[in-house]
Amino acid sequence: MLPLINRAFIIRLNHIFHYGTFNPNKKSSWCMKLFKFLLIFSINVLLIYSLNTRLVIKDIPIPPLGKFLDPAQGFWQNSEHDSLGYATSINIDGLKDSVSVTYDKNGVPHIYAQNNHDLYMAQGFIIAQHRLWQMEFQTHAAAGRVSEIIGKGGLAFDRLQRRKGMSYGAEVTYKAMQKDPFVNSCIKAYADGVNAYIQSLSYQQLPIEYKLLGYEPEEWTPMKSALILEYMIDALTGHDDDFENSNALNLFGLETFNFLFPEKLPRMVPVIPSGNENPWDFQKVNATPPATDLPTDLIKNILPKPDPDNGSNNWAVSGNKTASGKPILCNDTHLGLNLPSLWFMIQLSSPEVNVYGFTFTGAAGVTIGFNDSIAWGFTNAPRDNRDWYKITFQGSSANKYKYNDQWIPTKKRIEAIKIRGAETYYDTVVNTRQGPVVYDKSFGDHDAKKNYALRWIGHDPSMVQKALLELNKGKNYDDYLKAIEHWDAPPQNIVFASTSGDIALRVQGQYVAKWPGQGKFLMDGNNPLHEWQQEIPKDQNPYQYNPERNFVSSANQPSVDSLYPYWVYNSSQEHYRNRIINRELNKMSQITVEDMMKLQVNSYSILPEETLPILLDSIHLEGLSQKEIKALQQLQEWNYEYKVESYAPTYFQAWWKQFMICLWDEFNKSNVALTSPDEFTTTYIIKNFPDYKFIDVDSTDKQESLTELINYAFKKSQKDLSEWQQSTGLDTKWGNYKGTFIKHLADLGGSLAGFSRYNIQVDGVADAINSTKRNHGPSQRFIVEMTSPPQAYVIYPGGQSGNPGSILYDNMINDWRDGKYLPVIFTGFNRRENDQMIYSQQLKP
Amino acid sequence: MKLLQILALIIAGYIAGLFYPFWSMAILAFIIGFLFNLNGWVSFFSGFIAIFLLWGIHAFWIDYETSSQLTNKVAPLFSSNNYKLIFITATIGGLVGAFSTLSGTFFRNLFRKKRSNAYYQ
Repeated sequence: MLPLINRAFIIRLNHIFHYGTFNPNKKSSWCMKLFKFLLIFSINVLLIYSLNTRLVIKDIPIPPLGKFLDPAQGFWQNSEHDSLGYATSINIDGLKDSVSVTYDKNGVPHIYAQNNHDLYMAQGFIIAQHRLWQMEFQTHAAAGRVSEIIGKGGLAFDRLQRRKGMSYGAEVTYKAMQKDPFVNSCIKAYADGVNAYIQSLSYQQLPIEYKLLGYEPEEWTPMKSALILEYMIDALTGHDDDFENSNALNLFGLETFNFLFPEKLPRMVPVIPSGNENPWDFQKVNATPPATDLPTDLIKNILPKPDPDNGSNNWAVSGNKTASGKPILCNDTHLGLNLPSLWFMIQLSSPEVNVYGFTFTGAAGVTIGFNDSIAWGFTNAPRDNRDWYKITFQGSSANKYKYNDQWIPTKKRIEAIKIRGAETYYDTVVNTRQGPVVYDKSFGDHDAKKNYALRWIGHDPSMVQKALLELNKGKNYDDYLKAIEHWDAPPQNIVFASTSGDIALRVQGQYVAKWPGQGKFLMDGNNPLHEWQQEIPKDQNPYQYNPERNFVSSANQPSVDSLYPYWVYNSSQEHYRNRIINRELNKMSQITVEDMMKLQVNSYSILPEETLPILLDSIHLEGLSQKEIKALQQLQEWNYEYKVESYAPTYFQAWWKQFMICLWDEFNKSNVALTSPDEFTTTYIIKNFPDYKFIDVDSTDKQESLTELINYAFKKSQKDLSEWQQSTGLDTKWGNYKGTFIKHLADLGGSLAGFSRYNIQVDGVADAINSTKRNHGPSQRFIVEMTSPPQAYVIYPGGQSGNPGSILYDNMINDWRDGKYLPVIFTGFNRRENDQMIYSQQLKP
Repeated sequence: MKLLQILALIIAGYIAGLFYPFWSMAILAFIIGFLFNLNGWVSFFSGFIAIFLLWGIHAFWIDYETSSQLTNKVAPLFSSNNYKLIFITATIGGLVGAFSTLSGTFFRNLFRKKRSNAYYQ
């Protein structure tokens, strides 16, 4: 057996094993044998136990190695031999009838069910089959339950989620959903489908993330459909700059604040312009403004907020502008780029509904898509949907707080946060009329005097699930309007097109009628007039229906101009994508789907168009190196397109960023949180007020001019780029410098790098229509021409499968990167086109 | 050469692995260690080699058949490449197999009246 080992050596070792000693003559006692057995057996048990258990060694979690590496049950079993290796015939308790699921070559399931119950049950089952880990993880994240999975590293995140009122909001929404029999039956059927899948799983079939992190899926509840919605509400309405605004106001005064953070500037074009088509002839709901002063707190630590660039592009052109004479609708949604992808493509077909599109994993129906008659899509319609109130507690117990100069009792909600490998953490969240107190002595600024309550649209019930399910069935413009009456949060610009030739866009959501300035800064919790008073009736929301210009469009810019009767505010406004979209659409005629594809991946940005000439005009050439002069030449020749192979975008971005840092040095304070003016306002100021006081750099004694700043910033940026090049070993072309990557949801700082995709050479920049940043960008692209039946083209940066062991995990990334699309195979309940299908599953009762 | 024991463990381990967690092969290894009359080292290495081969070949086969689709992604987690990951897998399985057969052998020894002539076999 071991020819290499000397026989004498083996015999000698045998004596040790048999007798525990070198002496072959000494007889071993039974006790010695027992000792040997117990020793080896204990080692064995300990070995198996440790290989069957997730261990944390020096804060590094180690998966249960034996379980994980076992080729018969562990991660190896997640390697997929075929692209669609699912069971072909499955029995599911609770189905009323057989459901047929066929897959086209894109891996898109087409579900044909005899009734709605079976349709949504099958949807739950099929989505779970593809994306179980992701859908559970996202709802855990929404509910502030990440610590249960990853341990104490998730505690701060979980506390924030709970204090913001994520679970509370989801509960309120779930209660509202339960009151609607149709919605309730759909999310219940969906949950039953997910659970049927979970129950069918053995350890061997668990998604790899469960094996890796060492836990198992729990039961799916219909409440989780509310949690996934809350997750999106947070992503799309969870940003505000109230504290930063308050700090700036208190440091610089109102006049300077208004100059640096203007609500309106020339060149801004709203989603819905006022005019003959929109005379705003309605009776406005009034909001009574207060007379009292605002709190003068200076806040240092601002809690994490979602990316303000979470947004989208959408537009629809009427048949008058297209080659086919049919409307074309386009939508791409800009969110964090993750794997498994946020979106899943699906077709749902029953005698009552036949819809295709993108769905969230966890929500019933299709979110963005089309049916035989209509198509719709979304962009975020941001307004200030979150406001903060300074709360004064009586004493230190937080049992009472001051409201309208009286002491009112608070309500306390105890949040039990389970932590893996540690004791449960109990966080007491104090609730006031305005909302939960997020910042207090134990959280946020950790200051007993800084108690700030949050009022957020996410605390109100949302019937978006109902609106979506009805949109899925809609046949015309009236159905669309009726469906989106239920749309409240997150407020969206809902674009529409129909096969009958209509196009429309409605800014829809439950907005609050605010007095001018309300909620722009930290408000006073004592003053009843600071509270949200009345809601804007939804029929007063702005909209366009078959407008004269023959197109509608939106890109997260302000929805209206100052003629709209209500005061409308949002801290981070979009200024660039919306203008390039409108500029291009205005020019275009005889539009084809290919034109729209090119437009969606257009990488032109108006920011350098408006600022680079100012920068270049101020440059002094003397004293510059050859390399710097060459960079300037490239900038001069640049056409403002952010192409991965170009260097000019890198030079410009680095220069502009450095210039902003130098210019707004007043905003870089260690003890107060501040946000500097945005790029659009900065451009306005340097063009029109080149001698403005803030242009001087504070830290130097001399008076800097704008020209000096620009020259300094250029040299500094070139130096920084050289250092970047040396430290990364990469060339400074735009694709490398931007370094777009798509991150697996559990990849923390490269811990799961193999599951993510790094260095994706994709054109574009945040301000271009192809709005790609480092880890953020178009999470899907959708184009549909409203022929009968409609013909759609889709792509997203990922794949249908959530399993890293499947080729469908990330198979669409390259096409997404290169601006290519997949033609959609859209079938019908009685038009199944089976020749296009490559795989099928039968779900049986 | 204890080919019979090794083969028995490979086959039994493979079948058990289809249905039961990885430690099912440990129980089988223990039983085989108990049933066959082996000395300590032979027992240890038989167990090691059996499971090393079973896990190694199984992992290699999956890796080969799936064009390393998943191995490529998991190997970096272990700071290794695909072959090293297969080797790590096989070694961990082998260790469990080795200690389990050895436990079985030592357990058997508890019930033996006379000195075994196992190593002369």
